[in-house]
Amino acid sequence: MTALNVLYVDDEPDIREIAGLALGLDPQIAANLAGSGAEALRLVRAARPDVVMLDVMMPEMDGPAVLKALRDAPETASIPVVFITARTQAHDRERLMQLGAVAVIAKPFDPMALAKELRAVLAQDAAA
Amino acid sequence: MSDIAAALDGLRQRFLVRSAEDWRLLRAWTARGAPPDDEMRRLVHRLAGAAGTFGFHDLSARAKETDDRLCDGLPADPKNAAALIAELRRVLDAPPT
Repeated sequence: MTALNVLYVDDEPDIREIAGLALGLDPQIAANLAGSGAEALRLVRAARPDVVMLDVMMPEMDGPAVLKALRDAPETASIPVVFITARTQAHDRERLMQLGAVAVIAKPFDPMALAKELRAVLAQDAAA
Repeated sequence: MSDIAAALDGLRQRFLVRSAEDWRLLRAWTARGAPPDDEMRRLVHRLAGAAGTFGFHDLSARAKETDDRLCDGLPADPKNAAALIAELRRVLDAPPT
């Protein structure tokens, strides 16, 4: 299985911590964590993750704003983004996918399955 | 207990401590009958997104009912809000597992 550098972005510290632990269950995943959109953009520029997992609703700079900032910069435009959200109705998913996300993962997530779910949606995107 | 199970258990306990304050805030909000402020929106949204991760799936579901309405710009349904508060109380009163 390929090594994967993941940046997980969520303003909720407990969820961020769980996500870090959950992603770490896959020994081939190295997870970095960010607590805000601004911090995420700084870390993306510094570390160029393979994928960014973005909470949608965050204060100041929400997930879609972070995605737009990533897409607007040529050096980060192609980094895949997976949204993590409690808003999972079909029209919500469609809106997020139209913004340029490769997938939407539902909150609450199962910590024991998050890494597998991420691998699955990335494989699905790669096959599309 | 595995490392992640132990860490999850610790975070679950922290979630429960915070939830006691959430319950108080939710009760005060519904008693006021006021539209939700940003703090209330964030509280409900956090419960919807987080509770299930700690194993409280019914609590997430009750919070999501109110969160969906608030996110859509609709007023909270008092029945949904009452169900959320009752479920939160049930979680807080449940014996530790």
